[in-house]
Amino acid sequence: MIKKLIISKFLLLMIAIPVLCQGEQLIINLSPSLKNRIFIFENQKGSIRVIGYDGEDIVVNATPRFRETEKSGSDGMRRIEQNPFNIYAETDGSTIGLYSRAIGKTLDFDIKIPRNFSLKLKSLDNGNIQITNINGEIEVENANGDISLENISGSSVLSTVYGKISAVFREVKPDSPMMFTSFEGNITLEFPPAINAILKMKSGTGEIHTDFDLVPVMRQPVVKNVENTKIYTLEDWVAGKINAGGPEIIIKSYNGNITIRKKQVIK
Amino acid sequence: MKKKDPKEKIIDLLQGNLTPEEAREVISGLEKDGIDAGELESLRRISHLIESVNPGEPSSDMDRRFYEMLANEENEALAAEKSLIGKRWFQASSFNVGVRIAAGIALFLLGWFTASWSGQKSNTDREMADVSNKLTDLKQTLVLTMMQQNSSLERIKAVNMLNEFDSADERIIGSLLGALNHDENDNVRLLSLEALIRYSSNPAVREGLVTSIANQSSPMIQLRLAEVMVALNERKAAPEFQKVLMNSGLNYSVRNKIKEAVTVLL
Repeated sequence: MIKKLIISKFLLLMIAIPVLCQGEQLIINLSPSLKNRIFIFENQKGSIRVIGYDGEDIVVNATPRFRETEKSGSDGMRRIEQNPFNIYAETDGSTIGLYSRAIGKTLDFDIKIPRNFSLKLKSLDNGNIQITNINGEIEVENANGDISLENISGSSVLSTVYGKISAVFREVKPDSPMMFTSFEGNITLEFPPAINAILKMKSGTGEIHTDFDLVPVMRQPVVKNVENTKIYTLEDWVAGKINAGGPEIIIKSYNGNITIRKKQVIK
Repeated sequence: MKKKDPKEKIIDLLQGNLTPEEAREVISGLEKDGIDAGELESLRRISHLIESVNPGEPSSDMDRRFYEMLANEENEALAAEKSLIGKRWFQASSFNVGVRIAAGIALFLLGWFTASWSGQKSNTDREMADVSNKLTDLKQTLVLTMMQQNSSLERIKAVNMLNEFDSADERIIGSLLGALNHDENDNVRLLSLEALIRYSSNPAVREGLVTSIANQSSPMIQLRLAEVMVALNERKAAPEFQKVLMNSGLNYSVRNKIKEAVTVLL
């Protein structure tokens, strides 16, 4: 079953689709007057996979991860599905929000989206977030799973607690800071060799590796006030300039390793 | 061509609209008035930032606050008007329009003479100081506005801009504490905490940090707060940390760090 959703200017639309236990598709037809091109989605439970493509529609596929079995009991009673899931989209003329109602179910989302889009994604449990081929600002929070970005042009703010982060940037947006944090997981980033930035890194118990030539940056003293005496100490970050220096890229892990690579240029 | 006043020239300079000779002249003028190249560069960066910042969509919260402020202003204006009621007779009746215009002109001339009599030299100084103060104020307002943006990236930019300030006023501190306690993005919270550490000699900041302990669920922030409280030897934090330790779902590394902190601080 496929439903089409046409979002026109300044119109608030809600489309709820009742679904059985099979997967569901929602096509969001974007109006050219959409202002900010920001896509917002929070998945309560499950994975999100977003792929940028050359079309102009957002195509959302949602699949329950676990099939409900409909076996009859010995007394001839069958279980009846009573909480089918809903997915719907909403716009306020400037952003698109996708919402799902899937009480307790794990839903995995596959989303095809126009390449030039900014994303704000969050998964609360039981899933990884994977983003490919996007030009824009990417904001992801996934406390319990991995975050992986590939072929990205733009900037991003990613955070997880128990997952790994890996991000490969084809290009970075100049003058825009970025931030990557994972408490337990490794953080692996690839940037174009010509990037201008200041890296600020810190890993509590892990190691930091890079093949960029980092020029140490003078660190700012931090004032600590102990028993009315001011103590100046250095901020405990490793800070280094890549090429001409530029916006700050902040990378922090506690138990994970940090690896910053030059992206291989394919000749 | 009409000779521009110094204020206009500074703005032209910041926007890069002056010829090199003019620019040099203005800069040397500024240096004479005690504004050095570093300060000028910081002003230029700010003016550039102001132009480049994307105003974005105001949140409903911003709307609400704006209308609240507007309502306050209106109320104040009304109150002021009431106090003026005794003077209404002036507008109300006996004086005709001609007399009022004459009075206006007389006031203007009085102002003119006072201004020229009070001396020309100090004027530019005062203007410079004015411009500088206004820019600092503008910078702070800009940071506060950026802190309200929907995009976490804009909020991170705002917190990073604070590194350029020598000190932070109450509004900035309040906004940072607000972000530390309520921002939806853990990274913005963490960065706000890092920014607040710079102002930890301020008692309000220390108190804010202590009360924020109970509001944090991100292990990264809980652990950092434990480190900071030990570094600041903030004994008031110990009972707060003891409450956190009662949470059975607490991350293993965080639990160890907080136990250490409590032992040191008690």
